[in-house]
Amino acid sequence: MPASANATAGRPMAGSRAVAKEGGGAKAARTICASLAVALGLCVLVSFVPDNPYQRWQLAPRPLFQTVPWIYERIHFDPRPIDVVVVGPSKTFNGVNMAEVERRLAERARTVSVANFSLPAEGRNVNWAILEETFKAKSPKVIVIGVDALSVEYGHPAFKDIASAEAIAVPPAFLLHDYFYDLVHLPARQVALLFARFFPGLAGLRDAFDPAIYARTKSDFSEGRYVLEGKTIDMDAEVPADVLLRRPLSDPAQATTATTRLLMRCCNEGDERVYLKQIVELARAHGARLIFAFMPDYDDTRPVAARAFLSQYGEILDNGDLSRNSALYYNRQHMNHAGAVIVSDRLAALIAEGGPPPGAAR
Amino acid sequence: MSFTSPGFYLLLPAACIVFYWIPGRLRGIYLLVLSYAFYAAASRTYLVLLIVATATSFAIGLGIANARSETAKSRLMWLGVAAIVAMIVAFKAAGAMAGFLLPLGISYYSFKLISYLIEVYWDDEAVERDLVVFFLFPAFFPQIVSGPIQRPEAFFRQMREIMGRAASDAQIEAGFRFILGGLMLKLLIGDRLADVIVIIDGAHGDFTSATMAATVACYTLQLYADFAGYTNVALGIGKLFGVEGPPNFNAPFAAVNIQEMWRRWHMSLTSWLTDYLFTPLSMSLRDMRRAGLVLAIMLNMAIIGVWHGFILNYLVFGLLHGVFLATTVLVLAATRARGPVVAGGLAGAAAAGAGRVLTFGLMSFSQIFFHSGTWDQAISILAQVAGVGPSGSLTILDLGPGVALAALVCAAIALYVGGGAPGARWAAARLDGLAPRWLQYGVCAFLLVVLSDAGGAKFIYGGF
Repeated sequence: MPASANATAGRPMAGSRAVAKEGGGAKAARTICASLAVALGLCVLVSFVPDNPYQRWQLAPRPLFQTVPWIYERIHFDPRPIDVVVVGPSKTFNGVNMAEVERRLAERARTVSVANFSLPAEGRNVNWAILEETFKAKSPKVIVIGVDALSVEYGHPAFKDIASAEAIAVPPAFLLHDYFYDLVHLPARQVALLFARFFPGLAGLRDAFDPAIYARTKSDFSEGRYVLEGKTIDMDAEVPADVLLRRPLSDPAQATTATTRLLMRCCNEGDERVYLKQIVELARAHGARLIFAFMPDYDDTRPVAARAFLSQYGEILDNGDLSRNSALYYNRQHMNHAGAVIVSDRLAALIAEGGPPPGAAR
Repeated sequence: MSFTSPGFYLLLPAACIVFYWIPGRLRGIYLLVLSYAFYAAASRTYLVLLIVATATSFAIGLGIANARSETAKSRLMWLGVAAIVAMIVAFKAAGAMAGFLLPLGISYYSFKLISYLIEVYWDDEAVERDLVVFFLFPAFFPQIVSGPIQRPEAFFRQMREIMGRAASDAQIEAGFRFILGGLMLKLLIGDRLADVIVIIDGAHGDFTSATMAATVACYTLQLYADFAGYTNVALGIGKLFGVEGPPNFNAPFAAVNIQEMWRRWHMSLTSWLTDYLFTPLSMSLRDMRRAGLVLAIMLNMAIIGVWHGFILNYLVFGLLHGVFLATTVLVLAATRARGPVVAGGLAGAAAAGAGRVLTFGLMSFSQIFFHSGTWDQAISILAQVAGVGPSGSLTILDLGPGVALAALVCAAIALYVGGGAPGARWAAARLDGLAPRWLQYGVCAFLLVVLSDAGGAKFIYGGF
């Protein structure tokens, strides 16, 4: 028993600091540190257990990210090519109509297959992860990236679910905004995927492609009426301007906290630029053309963020002029089907203008 | 900042190291600053309320101890108790009517302050004249969110001790073990059960009566895992700072009747009410014999109910337990009056088993009211379980085989742990011979990381 345990109740003993320094608690501290080291070691070990990427791409929370498994299936199991791939946030998720782009390009005698792999919520890292997966099986010649009036300097919530362990553990820059958040989820994810390899039914993660499920999965959210996250969205509805204006503009303050600014000054350029550069590298490596589609809020006069930066790497499809037309929006941030058709037509025109045109090679 | 947030566990070791590194005489003030900072992180406005309530109780406590006449002592004690009760009643009533959030920990620290005033009234020697130690008593951060409700004398004594001694290896290791075990019970069992309960509750009319009955049983198991898990974390953090808190649970599912169950469930609250309300009340009503006893029980249990909040569901929960408890007490008294009860062998085991099942069933039945957000929801669930209300055809299997299996495993573990974990000591002793403690803790911490759903998990009793 430590000598200290004999201390009696009463006023503080003189020199108690000296007593404390003599090693009380040191053994317990060693035990705790050793156990934490064991836990950390096991976490590192399981983080790199091989997984089945098909199951991994089913981990993103549904219904918000219900198209993520479809994206993987479109890339790896659908024999159709992907000539034009669209990535971006919810603004391009329901602001680009795949069929409309294909139809317009077909009018110009170009048979093009378009895949809209945009996802709700911002975060450039997930766009990069999707494109990297796309290039594993397909060869898109045009990459369309949805951009906004503000740069979003944090990661996408689905990145931790779908990105490979290496992509999460070894990011392209130090101390990105969501690095630790994504990293702490990695061991749990890999254990869940390990379990799913042996018990896919119990884990609720399919390990075999089912064409019937693929065929009935909704993949285009720029038209019709659907329910997402409990909200009914009618893409054909026209919303009065005063109703649209009740919702505030996208808030730049969300994107740049003091910590983010500090990290961007010391360690990295922020998620947006870091992962855009990764996408640029990917595009260059595969000879793909980059188009940045600017999708403004309704009644927003702000221009596209970092125009000069984006112009270095690709063309900008500036839809800023559409922001004054309330008939093109279903809420302040998102276009309706009419808006999506206009954006898609413009996109098709821009794709057709540039060269080499997709589809021409076939 | 929650006891389940990773950020809290990054700060806790640093706070603990500083606590033992600074001179002993400064530890009290350091812990007080830490506790107030913890409270302020949740609510700066209500921190003022906590400080005012503490200062008032300190002054009244000194007044009671220094008063010359019994009448003056009594008046001061009643003044202090009435002021604190008025404060808690006002906030609970406003919370129920206006729906605003209660001050963090008000139900816990106000009971601590009341017990102090009554103790000083009973015995002048119980007065605490050290301002820092006294202010720390209600504010002590491991206990502020959801208890346990510690008695003043035990806290004051331990605080003085820790100011004069070094860290204890055994106590710190036990603290770490309690935190690990508590988090596992809360995050791996309680929260997993909660996930299933939320889904079924959200559309309970679509599920069969049997599934709903099983879900109602899960209410009890989830509440146990959540609250007992929290209590272990709170006790563990307290141990890291040299304070042993009172236990809150002692194998409640091993209880063979409802009276025993209440001696094993939320023990710091029930023992508090027994000492400061039930015993004085039953003594003053003893002339009424059994009617007085029943009245005291009903009043006691009604207060336990409304202590959780001023809504009808909690009152009904308390009154139901009052009926269960009064019936049990009267039946046991009548049984004993007929002669000594010989319980042994197979018949005794069967009787005990039946008693455990009945007790668990009664507890779960009352949980329908405790758990439901509204009276209508409680009645609707009750009708469905009884087979007289509308129900659907879905079963838990329709949520997916993995979900059903996980819920079953979690429920079984909660029942086993809440039943006293028979054989666990034996197994732990064998395990100690096979693997060192640090390895065992490390594996537990690893399981916690990979099996829990990291996020802002909340404690049920944090809302009271």
